Amino acid sequence: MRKHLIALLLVAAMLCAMAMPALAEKAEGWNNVNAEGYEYPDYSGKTLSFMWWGSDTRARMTEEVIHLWEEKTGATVEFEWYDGGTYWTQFQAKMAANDLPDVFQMGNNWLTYYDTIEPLNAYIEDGTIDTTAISPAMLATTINQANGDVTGMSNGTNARCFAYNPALFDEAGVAYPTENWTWDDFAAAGRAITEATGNPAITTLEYNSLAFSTVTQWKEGYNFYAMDGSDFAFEGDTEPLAFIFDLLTTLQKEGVIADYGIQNEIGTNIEADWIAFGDAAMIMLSSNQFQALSNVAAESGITLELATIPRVYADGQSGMVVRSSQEMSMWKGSEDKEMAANFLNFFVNSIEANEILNCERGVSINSDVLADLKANAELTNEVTAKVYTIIDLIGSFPDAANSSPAEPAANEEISDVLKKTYFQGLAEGKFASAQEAADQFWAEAQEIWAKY
Amino acid sequence: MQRKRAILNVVYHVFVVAFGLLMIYPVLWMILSSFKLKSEILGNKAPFLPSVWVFENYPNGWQGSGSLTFATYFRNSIIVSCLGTLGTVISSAMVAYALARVNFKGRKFWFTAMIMTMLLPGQVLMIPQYIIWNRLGLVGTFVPLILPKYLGWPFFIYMMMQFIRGLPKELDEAAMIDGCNKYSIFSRIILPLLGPSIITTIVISFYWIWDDYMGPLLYLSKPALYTVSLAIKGFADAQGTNFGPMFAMSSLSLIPVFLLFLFFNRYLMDGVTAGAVKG
Amino acid sequence: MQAEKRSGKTGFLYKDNVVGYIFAAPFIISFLCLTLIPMALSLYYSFCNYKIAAVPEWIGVQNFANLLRDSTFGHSLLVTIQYVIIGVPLKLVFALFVAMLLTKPTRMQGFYRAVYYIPSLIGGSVAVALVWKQLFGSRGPVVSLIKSLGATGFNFFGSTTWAFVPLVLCNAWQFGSSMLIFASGLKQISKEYYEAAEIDGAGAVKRFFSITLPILSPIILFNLIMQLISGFMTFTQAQIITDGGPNYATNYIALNIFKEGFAFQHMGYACAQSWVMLLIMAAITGIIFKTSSHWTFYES
Repeated sequence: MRKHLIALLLVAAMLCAMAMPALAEKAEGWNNVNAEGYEYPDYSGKTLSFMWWGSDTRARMTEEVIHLWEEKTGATVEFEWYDGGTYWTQFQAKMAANDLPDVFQMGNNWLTYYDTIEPLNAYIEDGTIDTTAISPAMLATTINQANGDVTGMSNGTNARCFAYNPALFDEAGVAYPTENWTWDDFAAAGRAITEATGNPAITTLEYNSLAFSTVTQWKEGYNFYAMDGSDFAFEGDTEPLAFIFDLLTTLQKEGVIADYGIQNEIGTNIEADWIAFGDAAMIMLSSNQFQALSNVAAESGITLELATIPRVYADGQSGMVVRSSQEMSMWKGSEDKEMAANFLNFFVNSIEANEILNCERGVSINSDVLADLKANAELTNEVTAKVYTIIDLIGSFPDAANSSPAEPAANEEISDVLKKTYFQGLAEGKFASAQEAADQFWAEAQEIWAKY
Repeated sequence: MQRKRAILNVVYHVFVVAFGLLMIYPVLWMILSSFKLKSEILGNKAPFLPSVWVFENYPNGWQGSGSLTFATYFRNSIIVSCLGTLGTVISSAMVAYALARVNFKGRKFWFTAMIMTMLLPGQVLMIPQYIIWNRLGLVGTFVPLILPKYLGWPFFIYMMMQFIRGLPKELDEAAMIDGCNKYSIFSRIILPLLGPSIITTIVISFYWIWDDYMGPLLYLSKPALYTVSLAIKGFADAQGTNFGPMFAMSSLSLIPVFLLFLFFNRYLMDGVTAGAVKG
Repeated sequence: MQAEKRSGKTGFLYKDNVVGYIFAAPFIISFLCLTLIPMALSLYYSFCNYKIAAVPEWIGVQNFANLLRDSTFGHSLLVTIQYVIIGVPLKLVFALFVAMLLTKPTRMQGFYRAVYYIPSLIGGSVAVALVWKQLFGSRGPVVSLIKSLGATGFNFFGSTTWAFVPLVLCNAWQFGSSMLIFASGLKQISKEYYEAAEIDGAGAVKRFFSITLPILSPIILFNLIMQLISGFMTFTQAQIITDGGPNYATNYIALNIFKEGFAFQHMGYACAQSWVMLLIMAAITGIIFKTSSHWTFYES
């Protein structure tokens, strides 16, 4: 994996180097949208189409940024937005008709939609998209490791982590999570809290990503999927899977982790989690969900904190990763790619635009933007500060860039089976042991992989 | 006898009201939730009545995505539902008449074809249908949502067929003798007698079009054309859902369909008097 | 020719075949233009390895062969049939019961019917999902009631045996359109029948079985067929309330098809599943139509 990381850094460095000659002809920072003398191109009479998913809150902010760009360039933006669940259904209809918008929001599932995406390398090379304030590691969150294609510009990063309620830790008299706490610490804290409160200490868990993290933590060089998404990368070693199956199932039997009934009631509706009402102490979430969760918790006077995912070995791999939460990609069939690139550049790099967006999609990858937001007390509250802190922390772990930025096409099905057949099946007693479940899962995962 | 009837009457009303409360509880829950804080909507100790009445959910929800408010979405929903319902009633009654009363070659075939179209899950027809509308250049308009309703809706065709079959055939024959032809039998005999089922079609199809989400999701493509059902979904996201405003708009969205029902229900009442317990 | 046409029943336009096709034209147009091609395509795709946006690749009966070995699909079929067998009669009986109950002519009739109809107006919304999870949740009133009867550790949404119950009840609860259709059917029954029966001294029960049921039988057939179809296609509630879980206990066939086609990118396989489902449903509806001549009563 290390080799991949180095190769990746080299690619990024080369991209920068290749951009140099272009820069040499023009004044330094000519393409910096935040610089004094930046000139917006004139796109009067032209139309750009753009589509994203998200809530009405996001729609209001995004629309405002769109109007800002329209004012500056004279272009018209035709936009549409949908809720996250059904976005992909209508995306696939548009894809089937080969009629997508010029720019669309993409997730980590971009390998599935790869044929629709225009790589941005050329626009980064010629400076249309400015990456000088974006670190190679951040840029890499949307790079296809197999061929170096930049699949989109990340509009924010997030990380899977834990949220916890310190008050319940105090009540049970256990220490707060540290940055390298282990699964043993996790189990001990959970047991103590459940004993003290009588409620399950842990409610929502993202089972598949926990299993994948455990694989990475197990041994240096292991990853569930290879960096380029082309294969599995843990030598078929089912021990880490058996470990996490066993741990989580045992804790669930003890009542420390909520049973699947409670978990299914909460479902994907993070704001309904028991932690927001003081009943549970720990849950797993994506860092960009923390704001919404904290808002609900605050209504009941509860303050939540963020922690890392527990490790197998305190001095071992973190198994955590800073990833792109959502990226903006360009459609291969777009008729004015240059204009689309300019819009992307504005959306990702403009401080003015990002003061409106305020990292709602995820933590900005542009260091200038981030510095501006952090310095602005109106835009950075206590909760967002916690998110910035955890992202910085996870980004500083040596293995943080270790995991594939892409989800292979088979991931959706493998994850579905992992959760529903194996984790839930084990809890129902459908397997003799965790090891048996792990072995069977591994066999089925390979079968599924072969179908794609 | 008189007393027994009075007691039965009371029992009847108590039962209907008690059971009705059970039926309507989730609806009341939603309407009350539209006045609540998020933690009172979601919490597992949530009170039935809001402890603080949050009226702002209504203006906040109405505001929509910013430049477009729910005024636009309601207007769109009303256009699509009214035009669609009109089409459904006209075309379904026509087709039902043909399939139920006219003895033409291929009648059985078309009836079977109609039933078959209902047996394939919409999920696998979605993409090819989208491609057709896309080729016709009609994505981004109301046409894909409205036009098909003018081409018969199998559910209502079949429903009206069953009602037509319940009408005595002697009526047709008598009308024939009086000089009616197949066209005037439809307009003068069948249509007037179809009254209750036409009313039913209006009420149900209006609501189904109003509530439809997949069609608007696929075909509208412009926020200015979004319907209420599509816009309401826009409040929901994995990164946080604006439940209060969502329920506020969901509650408002009940009003048009409910008024329509109240208006037409008058024509469905006073049915069989002797059929049920006598009052 | 012109004179004949004007005179009425003998002209070209008045032949049964012509009249039939003129009146059926809307459906025939929609069938040929909007339904036939997508249906034919889905049949073709069922023999292909087809990812949306990629060119379908012909693989013969491979998809169907895979179906035979696919335990998830088999399980989906089983739970769907369970849902249909329990859910459809429950909803129909309930709808007919309420429709009869609310035909009693009182001043409150309109109000009552409105109250019973409203639940059907909130459809598959987020509100339904939330309230259902609270009602049947581990701390909800239903589970509390069951626990007070002595069942410890019981819950709906974590149990592969009981997770279908809230879904079936949710479906039955939204009986409004079936009820309306029954109600308009009841309205069509001529009062003279009942009056005649009453003179003959028939009681309420006898009147129900000898008059109401037979005359209503075409409507019952209709509601039965439609509810069967929608039962087999049940999707929204399972998606928003249980998401097919736990352990695939509510992974109904339409949900499975949607997942295969859109989430897993196996549109060809999804189409194959759809056509197997179509054949099963066609067989069932065919049997019902065949037997219906024995129990449905048409005026004509």
